[in-house]
Amino acid sequence: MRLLRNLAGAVAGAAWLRLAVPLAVLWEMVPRAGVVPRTLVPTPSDVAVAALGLARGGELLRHLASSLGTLALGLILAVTAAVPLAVIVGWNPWIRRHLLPFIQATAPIPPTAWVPLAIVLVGIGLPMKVFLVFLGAFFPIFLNTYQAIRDTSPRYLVAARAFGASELTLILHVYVWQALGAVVMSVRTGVALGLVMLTAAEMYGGRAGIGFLLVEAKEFFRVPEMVVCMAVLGAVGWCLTQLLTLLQTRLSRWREAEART
Amino acid sequence: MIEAFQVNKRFSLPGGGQLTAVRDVSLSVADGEIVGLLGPTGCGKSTLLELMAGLQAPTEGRVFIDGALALPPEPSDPRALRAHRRRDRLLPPISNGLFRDRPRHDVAVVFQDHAVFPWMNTLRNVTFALRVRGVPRAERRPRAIAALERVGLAGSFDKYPAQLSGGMRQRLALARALAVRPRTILMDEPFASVDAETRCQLQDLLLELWRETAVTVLLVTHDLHEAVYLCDRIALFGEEPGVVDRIVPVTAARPRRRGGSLPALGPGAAGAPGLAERPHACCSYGE
Repeated sequence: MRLLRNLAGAVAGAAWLRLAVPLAVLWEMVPRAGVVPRTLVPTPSDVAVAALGLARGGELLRHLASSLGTLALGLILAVTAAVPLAVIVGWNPWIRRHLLPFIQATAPIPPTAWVPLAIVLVGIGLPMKVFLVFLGAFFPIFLNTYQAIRDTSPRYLVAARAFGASELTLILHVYVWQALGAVVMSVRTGVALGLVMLTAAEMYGGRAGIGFLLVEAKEFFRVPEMVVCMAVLGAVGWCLTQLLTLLQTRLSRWREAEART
Repeated sequence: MIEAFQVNKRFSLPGGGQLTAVRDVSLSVADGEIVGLLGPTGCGKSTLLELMAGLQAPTEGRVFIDGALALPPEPSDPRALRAHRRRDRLLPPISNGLFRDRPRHDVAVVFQDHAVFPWMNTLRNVTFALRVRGVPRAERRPRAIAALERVGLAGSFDKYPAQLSGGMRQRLALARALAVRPRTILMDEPFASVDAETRCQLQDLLLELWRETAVTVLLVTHDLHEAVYLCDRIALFGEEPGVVDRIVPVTAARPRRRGGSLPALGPGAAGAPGLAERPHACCSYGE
């Protein structure tokens, strides 16, 4: 319930409706009046009709499920790989000296530049798409988590060690807690880039997904359907971001306490 | 029992020079004693405390905690030292090992900024310390509760440090250190950041706890009155950074009157060169 209220809260804040309603009306009027060609700029009603059409055939749901599955798989892989790796690299200078240069050398490559190589390597199926989502999300999650681990205040480390904490305890009870907020934040960035990579991957290769639907709509010059696809992708990103924001406030109750005082 | 023999600590500065933080200090803290390190800010007393707690390795000399070497010293030759510090090591020297929680020495440290963990509530802060000490699970909670009640935090078990006042945070740090029942407790200006009244309360609390547990205390302070009120002996840092001028016994009987000053330092201090002439150089007089 709380989740639903939080999700709704950002939309139902009402102030923005004062602007949104007139804008929608304007958007509806202008193409109808023939100021711009209606084939190029579909009205909201055109988009709604297209969305209904796509939804009724079950087509939209099928592609959405495919996209969400790919996205989830890629993100889960990215988090499970990037967070532990970042913690270990941030924790230990010896490991850092040996591993970090590789990651720093690979990170600046724009993730979309991996698309051709990924297609050549693993074809155009699900593995390629998952791999690309993984790549998009991995680097922001890794780099932000790593930085947060490095920023851990040494006084907590000294205090824990003075009481007898082993390195494993330090990682589980000091480093991770210090970095937790940054980890969730970085996952939000990772989700955004993962979504970019998902769309790119589906547009380049594959037989399913919202990105594929988008390209298909383009091939047949169905502009309203293109807008529907864009809106769906935006909605997916928005929902995930809201979920993570909620998670972040849940996990940092002690930080809230800090802010109150 | 902590003993330091001819301890030196030097840091190399980024510009290439060297900073001597501690120079040729020999000091021993006997069991059950309260020893103070008194000096102005930046005189090296905190560094000496960390050396004696086994949290930093001396450049030269040896520190023994209960007869065991606190930390192996760094090589004294500058080139060997650079190589030593550069050496690819998996773990830093003060590490307790990879997987097993086990303190290297039977000491507890109270830091100036208390360093309690802000993501744990007060009870968890204490049970965590007990856990890494190897206290069996069943004993942790009762012991933590007893320690928190002893320092006057009975109603705040589920509060986070951010919800506590500065004095209460320091009480928590004290409870965390005492709950593990160490032989020695090392305190780095533990009461410097609280108001005067709270400071007096905390000083009395420390004395009560000391009487109850016979714990050995090494205490860093820049407040002469605090040192005279609490300590059996006081190591006075001089004008030259890192040098302990002399070690004076405080002969006044306990319980002491607050606000004792130079005469209370005992006969040894009467002829102390420098102490009477320049008290401002080695200590501030608190508020």
